[in-house]
Amino acid sequence: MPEGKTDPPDRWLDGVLGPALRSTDRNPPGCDAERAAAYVEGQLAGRERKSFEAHLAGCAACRSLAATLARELLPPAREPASARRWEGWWSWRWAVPSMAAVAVIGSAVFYQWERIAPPAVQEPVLEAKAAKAPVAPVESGPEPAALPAPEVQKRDKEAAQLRDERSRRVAAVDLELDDARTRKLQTAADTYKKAGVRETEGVAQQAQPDSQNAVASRLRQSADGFSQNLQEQRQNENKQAGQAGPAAADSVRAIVSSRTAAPPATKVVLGGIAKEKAEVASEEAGKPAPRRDSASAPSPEQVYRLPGNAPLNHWVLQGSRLWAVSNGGRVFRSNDGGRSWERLESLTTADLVRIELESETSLVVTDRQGNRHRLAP
Amino acid sequence: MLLDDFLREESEAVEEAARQAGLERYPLDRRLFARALLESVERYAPEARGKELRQFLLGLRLQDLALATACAHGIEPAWEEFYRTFRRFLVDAAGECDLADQVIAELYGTGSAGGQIGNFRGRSSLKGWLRAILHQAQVDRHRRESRLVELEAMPVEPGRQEHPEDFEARENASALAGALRLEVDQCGPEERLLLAWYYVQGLRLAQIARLRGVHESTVSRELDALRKRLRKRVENRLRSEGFSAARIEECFRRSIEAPLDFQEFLVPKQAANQESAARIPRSGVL
Repeated sequence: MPEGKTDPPDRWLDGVLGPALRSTDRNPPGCDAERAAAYVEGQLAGRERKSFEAHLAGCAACRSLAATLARELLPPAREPASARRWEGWWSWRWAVPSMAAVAVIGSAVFYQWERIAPPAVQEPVLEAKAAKAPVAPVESGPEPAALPAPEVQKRDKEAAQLRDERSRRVAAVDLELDDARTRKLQTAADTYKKAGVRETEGVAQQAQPDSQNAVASRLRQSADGFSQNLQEQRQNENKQAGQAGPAAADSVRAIVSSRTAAPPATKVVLGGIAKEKAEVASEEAGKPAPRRDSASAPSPEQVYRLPGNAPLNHWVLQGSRLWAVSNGGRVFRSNDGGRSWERLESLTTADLVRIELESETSLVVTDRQGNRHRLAP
Repeated sequence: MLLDDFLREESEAVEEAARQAGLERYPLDRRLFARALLESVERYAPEARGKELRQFLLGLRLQDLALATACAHGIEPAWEEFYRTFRRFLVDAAGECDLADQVIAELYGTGSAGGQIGNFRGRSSLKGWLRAILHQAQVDRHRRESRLVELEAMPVEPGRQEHPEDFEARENASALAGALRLEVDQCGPEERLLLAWYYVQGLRLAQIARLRGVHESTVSRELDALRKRLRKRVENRLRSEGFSAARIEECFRRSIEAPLDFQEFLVPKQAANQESAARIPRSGVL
């Protein structure tokens, strides 16, 4: 057996086929050594070749001669084409030029793709940058030495203008949002003042003689806090969407630095004193502690930092107890004016946007879809 | 066809062939070379005319033909070139100097057969033809030596009683071989040749592919299909002869485990001797 090609079930031919073939050989006329050599060398063609093959099929002597010639005159068994392809020095002489050409073409294509690619995939990053810095630089750097075609330049310019416009729009929306938050804070501060917190401010910030300046300063801090809260919320959303990128990291760094600059202890003390004063006043009047919520009562600095930087969607205050709701069905309760929080069971995972104290023993939270859930306070 | 007619009718082709052959190397007379061309045409393309004949003439190994013709006519520079070019090849192929020199002597005309090199017609390369001549010389010598051994040391086997299992195995093997012989006999020439290349001559798939001018995978595929077809036909034949499935399976199993040489009982002794005695002429038709 020349090669281990045949499967075991077919090996039966090995021993019996040779004798069977020999026994059926007829040794026809037409033996010719030169023709056999020509056949092996591929010199025979067409009818002559067929004729000689028919002769070979029945002539053991010619077959033996042709087989001997084939073994010795034909080159050894060829290697697979894949291995032969890399044979010889000449197959490598084009390797370096080919690789260089591929690198040049690849660079050009990549450069053009970067310039022409639609900015859709960069939108989240641009938004995040706009939230931190109102005007985000879009493109910079010198023009490459090899200038693209005029059409490409025109297209690039339009794309850059589009990105600029989008960045400006995003920044404007963010600023409007921040203004709205600031106005809301202003309203809250006014309400806070009406509730008699002026004395509290005086006690807590004895170092500041001018109460107007103190209020303005606190408002600025409140605005900063809400801006930070907004950024935290965006950061959380980005993380949830798996898009937390460099811009989100910058936002986190900004939040950390602002918190370091403005220690929260002052705010907590402010909140605690304010709360104590309000409770004392209420107890002196013989009335139950007044209920306040996000829209009306004390400074939101007291409550805006929830565990895990959860975004504060709504809160309600009764006496010294605070309740707040956040995304993912999270409901928090604080018994110390916001210093520490505990999470309540809410039996929902929807984003909660409103919380109401229905009675002394019942809280009602509302999710974004308007569904209301009752839970024990 | 007479030489003059051939030269007149195919003068252009002969001129071109002579130019390609490089007759001036030895030098070889143009008319001698034309005669060699004519003999080649008469042997291998007697019906060819016009364009076909021209293609045949220019397709010959013209330089080898010129060398062989010059050698056949005793031109010394040609013999020197022949000896310088082909003796080493013959020695390597024969594996010894004696046989190679014997072949050269026969070609030169000092041997009993006379100058054989004049029988070369340029259809194959001179190297291929020389290898075929050497093969014949090897076969002749082997036959002579085998005959001597056979006469001097005839094997004398002690008689032995055949075991019943041996008998059954022999019966099965004989039945299988008989069925296979009938089926092989019904195969076409191409199928027979493919089986013979692979199973009898032991050529590799790549060599068979080169011989047939197809890809190796084609040969492998055809061989697989042929094997399966043969097995199925043999099974059917054995079944038609009353063999059970188990016995058929036993036939194939035994042929794999203990392949027997069926030559002795499949081919009559006399026929086998005749076959081995068949000798391929070094040129010409048997």
